[in-house]
Amino acid sequence: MGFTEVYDYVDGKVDWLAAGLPTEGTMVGRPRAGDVARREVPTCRLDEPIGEVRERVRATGWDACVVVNEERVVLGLLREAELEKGRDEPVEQVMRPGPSTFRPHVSIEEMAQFMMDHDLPTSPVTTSDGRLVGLLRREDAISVAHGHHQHAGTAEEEAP
Amino acid sequence: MPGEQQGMVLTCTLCGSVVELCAFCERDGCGQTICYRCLRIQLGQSIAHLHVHGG
Repeated sequence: MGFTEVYDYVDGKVDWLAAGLPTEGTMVGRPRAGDVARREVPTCRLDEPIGEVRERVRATGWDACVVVNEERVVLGLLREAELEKGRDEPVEQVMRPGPSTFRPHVSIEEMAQFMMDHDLPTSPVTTSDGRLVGLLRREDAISVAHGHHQHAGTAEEEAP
Repeated sequence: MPGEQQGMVLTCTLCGSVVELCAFCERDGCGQTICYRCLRIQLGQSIAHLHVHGG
């Protein structure tokens, strides 16, 4: 047809995966960060006093809280160290701003390995536009990755 | 050669780029420092090159 250069809209594919939309192919059965991240995670707003947030978070048994805006876009993260700081100060003053976030389609095995290597207890999972999907806990990631690895090994052994 | 710290400069252990913090854990002494670009590629959040083919 006379086209000399044709490009796939690759960012679109990555964005499709990142949104957790249905996929096909050999990787479809592999667990991903978005499948394992816990949805019911404590959240708070920038202007809440850290003392109140700390009490709320502790009561739920969590040791982390995600700072979000009205549209659930992640603005910051309170891990154990930040939750210990202050009392009446607004969350904005003590939070870890702009934390690294990960897309739901990332392989749980890779996330588990990275979280072990970097000794990171939790990682926020968001869509491409920054909306919170959930919080991935290292022990959940390791457990699922290990389970999948064993299951894959058994299936391979049983294959004719 | 890419390394963790060269003098006071923190570099990506994969590509050697100078970074302020590790893009994964946001620390400066994790021993596995990775830059944002390498991290995105490693986790499949981005790709290294455009997928180009003829028309």
